[in-house]
Amino acid sequence: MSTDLHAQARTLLDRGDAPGISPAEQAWLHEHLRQCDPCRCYAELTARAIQGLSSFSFTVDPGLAARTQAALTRRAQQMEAERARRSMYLRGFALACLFTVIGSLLAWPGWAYVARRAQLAPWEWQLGFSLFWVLPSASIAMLLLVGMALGNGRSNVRSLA
Amino acid sequence: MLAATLTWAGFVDQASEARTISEGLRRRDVAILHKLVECYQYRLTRYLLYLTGRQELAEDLFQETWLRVLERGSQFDGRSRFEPWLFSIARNLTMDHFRRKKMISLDSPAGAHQENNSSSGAQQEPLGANLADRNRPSPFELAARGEDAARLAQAMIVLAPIYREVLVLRFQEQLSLQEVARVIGAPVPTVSSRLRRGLEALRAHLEVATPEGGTDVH
Ligand SMILES: [Zn+2]
Repeated sequence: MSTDLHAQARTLLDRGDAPGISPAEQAWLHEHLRQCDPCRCYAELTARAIQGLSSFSFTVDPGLAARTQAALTRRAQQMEAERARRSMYLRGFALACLFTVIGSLLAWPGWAYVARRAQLAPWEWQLGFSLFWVLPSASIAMLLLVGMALGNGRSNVRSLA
Repeated sequence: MLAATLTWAGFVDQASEARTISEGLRRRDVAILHKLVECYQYRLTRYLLYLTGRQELAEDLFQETWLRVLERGSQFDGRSRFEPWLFSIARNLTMDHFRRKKMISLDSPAGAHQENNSSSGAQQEPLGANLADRNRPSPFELAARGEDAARLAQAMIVLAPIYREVLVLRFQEQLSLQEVARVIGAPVPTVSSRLRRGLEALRAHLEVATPEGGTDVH
């Protein structure tokens, strides 16, 4: 019998009863083992090794599952709180942006009217509009964005710890 | 398998089980996670014990693995089985742990060197301090029931984790070669080669007791 056939039989045995072994291969292996004593010994030893592994009975700390479940509950609550906080910041940011744009568009004619009545130069009331209307609402939007970014950074650090 | 243990929860077959788990993880459903922790308690700990060889470390990594499952749950698409995904998370965390502790990586050149060695290649000192505390019995010695298992426990102490892990994934977890390959992030021929080396080491320990066993390749 050629070395290749023994090697082939042992390769099949080492793979275990993998789904990759076809019925034809199984039949061939069965026949080979019937005729070849060394490969049969190899098969028996392999089966003993695999059975021996299955007979291992590891001890698992009975409190491990409960501790893990408690840690999961805590982390899930933490993540939910973080999600709620992020969404609050995001809504605030969107609202501040909306207020800056739409509010400015709506307020602009009013400011222009008051400025005309007060006989202000255009650059004066336009500067006033930027300083006292656009800048505060844009700053609030930016602060909300920074707050959200800082919160994300903190939660990333926590999940890495 | 899990399908059998979770049928009460309405999981009929493996495909719908994976889908249910995937949806639960996407929703961050803590109740599903609690059930999974119970179901995989023994199997995940066993895998981590094969990988690390240390009880306390395996338990720490067990907890870390589930927290990671909670955080990254949306990445499990439910199109394949849950087990390979779970074990690959556990494996990555173990590798990160060893990297942090500056131990040899599971897939380090040292591991590759072991793979390229001859039949005794699998029997080298694994992962730095791994299993080094010989004053205490290893988890394998504690788990051994019967004569063969006691001999195999001795083999496990000297067997590198890269071989131990394919043995547990293939023969205990009954994962296919492709699934094992996915867990360890290596091609199927590498898995086959590690299986062969791992079994070779186990057979060598059993053969000591039965010297008449003829296992020479012709
Ligand atoms: Zn033969």
